[in-house]
Amino acid sequence: MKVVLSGIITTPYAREFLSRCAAALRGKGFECYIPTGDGPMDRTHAENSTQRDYEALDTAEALVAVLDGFAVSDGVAGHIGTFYAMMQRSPAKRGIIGILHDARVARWDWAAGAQALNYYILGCIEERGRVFRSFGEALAELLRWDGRVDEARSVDAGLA
Amino acid sequence: MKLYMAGPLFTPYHRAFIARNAERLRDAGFVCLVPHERGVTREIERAAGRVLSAAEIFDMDYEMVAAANAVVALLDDPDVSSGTAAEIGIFYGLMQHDPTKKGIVGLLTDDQAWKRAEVGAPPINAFTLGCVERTGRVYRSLDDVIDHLNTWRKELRKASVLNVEPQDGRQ
Repeated sequence: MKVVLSGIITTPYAREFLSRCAAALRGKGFECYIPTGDGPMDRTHAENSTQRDYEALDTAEALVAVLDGFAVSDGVAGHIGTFYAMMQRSPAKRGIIGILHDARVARWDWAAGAQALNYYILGCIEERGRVFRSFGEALAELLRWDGRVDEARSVDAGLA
Repeated sequence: MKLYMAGPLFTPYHRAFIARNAERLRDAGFVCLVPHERGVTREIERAAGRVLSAAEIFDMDYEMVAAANAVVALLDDPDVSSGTAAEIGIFYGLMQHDPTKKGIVGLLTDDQAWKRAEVGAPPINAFTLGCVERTGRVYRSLDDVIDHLNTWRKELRKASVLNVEPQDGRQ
């Protein structure tokens, strides 16, 4: 399954988080695209990044979006909207999975969950997906989407 | 020399970055006051057995800000975290009448902010930036932050403000 992993890419530690998630996805056999690329980031021209990201979204079956921030990052929101539109004409697209850590939005114990997210973004995700509190939970969901239920159970068990 | 480490602490990767920076500053001999080392709000609430009020959370952080000789503020993200901006403002106010408070050093690693600066726009909110630039400077790397803090530490030692300090910067 081909997955696009979208998140904040403007700080070194947020990029590091995405890279680690991408490595874990590839370790589980997923083909994974991240907007920063695998080498040094080349985002000099917005036009190039738009075209590259669009092509990756067009061929992906799933979008995993990190929804952190007081408001979801504009770049991530753009990816979600684009993928949602693609989903309308492509049943091969499984859907969008969100990851939300931000304690200002979900609360420290995740008691608010995804409820305080922008409703339009939440609607795009919940049409065929869900928001999870950690990358591990998102990975387990992707494995279920890929028909690997036993592996998903094993990831879930590791989180418990 | 005591540093208050201000910054957004709401995701695991922000907390990890601030923790790594605090570790390096401690290795350089500074005492670091890091809000999330007291426990995130959830843990503090569990220990207290009740939900903390905003005023109680404010009191905990204010105590640390007021005890510091300088603030190291992580200014990343589309907008500076409102809590960080408030702490910058508080420290700016406190230091007007307290010579043991040297100033505020900003750490800005956000590419988008530097891109704004390159085209002549303020990288962050102008008032917040002014508070930092009137008292310190904004840097892109922690190495530069440490150099700046070392200068302040020498000045404080010269003024005999720092008499006894832990050798490894730990409290």
